[in-house]
Amino acid sequence: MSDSRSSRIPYTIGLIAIAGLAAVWLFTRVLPGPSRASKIIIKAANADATQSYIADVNTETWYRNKLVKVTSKVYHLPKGERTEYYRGHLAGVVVVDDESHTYTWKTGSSSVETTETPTLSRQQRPALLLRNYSPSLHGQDYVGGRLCHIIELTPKKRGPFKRLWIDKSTYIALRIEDLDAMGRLTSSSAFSNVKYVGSLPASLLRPPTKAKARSEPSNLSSLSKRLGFRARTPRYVPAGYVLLGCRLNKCACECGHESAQLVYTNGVDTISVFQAARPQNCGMSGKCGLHNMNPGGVCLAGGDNRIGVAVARRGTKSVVVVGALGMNELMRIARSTP
Amino acid sequence: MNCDKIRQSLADYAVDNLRGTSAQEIREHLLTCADCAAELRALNAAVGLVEDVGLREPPVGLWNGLYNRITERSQAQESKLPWFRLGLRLRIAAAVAAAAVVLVAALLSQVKAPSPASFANAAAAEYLEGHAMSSRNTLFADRFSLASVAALAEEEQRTNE
Repeated sequence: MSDSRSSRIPYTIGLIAIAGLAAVWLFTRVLPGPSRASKIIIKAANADATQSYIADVNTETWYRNKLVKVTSKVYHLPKGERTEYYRGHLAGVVVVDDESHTYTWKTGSSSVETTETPTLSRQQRPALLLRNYSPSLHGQDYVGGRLCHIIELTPKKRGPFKRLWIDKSTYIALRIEDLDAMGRLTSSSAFSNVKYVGSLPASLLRPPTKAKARSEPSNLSSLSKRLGFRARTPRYVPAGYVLLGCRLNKCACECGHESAQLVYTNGVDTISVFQAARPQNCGMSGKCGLHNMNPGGVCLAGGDNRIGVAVARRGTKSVVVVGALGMNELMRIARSTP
Repeated sequence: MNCDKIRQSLADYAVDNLRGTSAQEIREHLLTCADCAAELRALNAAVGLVEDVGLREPPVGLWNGLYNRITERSQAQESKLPWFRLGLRLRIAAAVAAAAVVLVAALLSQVKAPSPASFANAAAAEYLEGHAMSSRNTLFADRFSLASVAALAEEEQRTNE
């Protein structure tokens, strides 16, 4: 009896091992895992932190129902990027992005402006994107002489789309198309003459002089003290959007007008919720120049038909919401801000 | 077979349209009947004349002329129709036109006048610019287009001061 039991042990172990291998195979092959498109997106999300390249970029943007074209030369380093615009309405403008700020100046000018640009960590960004968007692969095509995957990012809930052409070798996005929730193209940027280089000088990311801050990172408490009213977060924010940060936003016309800006993102799209005191200096003093005031104090301050601007009067302040989700959604956010 | 029946078939026999026993019967009759044979000779002569003349194209306008004469007759007949049939086409046309007017009116009523939301506004431009600048660091952001929007918005603000 004991002999027969001991002779069965190797068979039992073998069967368990086979069952275990089969389970692993089942888990990795049959059960849903990250799609190929998702894997490409994850690689592309971190590609720009390891590459240096120079390229020309042709950009088309719909603004106020007009198509605006600009051309630029981009110098990309792992730590940041310098863009020199040489054609279009931005000709002569230089923009430098590092990981937390954007510096803008005109060639030959000594005035440099800086804007704080909030961001998530490198790990958080693709995770949030994949939580809210479904990437799908749509074949391949050449951009700037480089063979690219074509990936479409479709929102899981209604919202703007994005199409990306991602270099198959380097995973750099060489063409980006933004489409609104209705599927209309809002902007497109395509690289040409792409040259990947070993390194570029860090001096490219240095602005020529000390920059004047157009916005500063802040928090709700500091903003409330500075602006003289209580800056609050909206009660309603569309599903999938997280608060990226708070900033003090200053008007470009240097009238002294300031507003609190809360920036929300879902990984791809952003919404800005501005709060400013009434009356204000930049035409928002209760009369925004429009004739169609809805009851309840919500008026539509317009904007491009793709990026909307919705305004609500909330006690002693005005709430302005900017985004590409459609006016109904923006108004809902504005009205929900206490 | 008697001569009446033979003569009814003579035209077909003359152009070789008859086969088999029908043709045989006529051949045998023609051998014994001089009248029917003469009739056949006349038919053959007529066919021969047609073949001698050959094909001719009809004069231009022949068919149009025919068509016009036919339609004149039918219009003349219509003019004699009772009033409730005379205006049928006109009434159908009027009904279609009225329906088209109603449809167009319904469609136009759905088209709203351009909302004030579409007018440029310096304050909106200020916030557009702030929004564009803060969106630059989003993953796969089109920072080139965002710079364009920010600059256009700033220009709009300065212009509308």
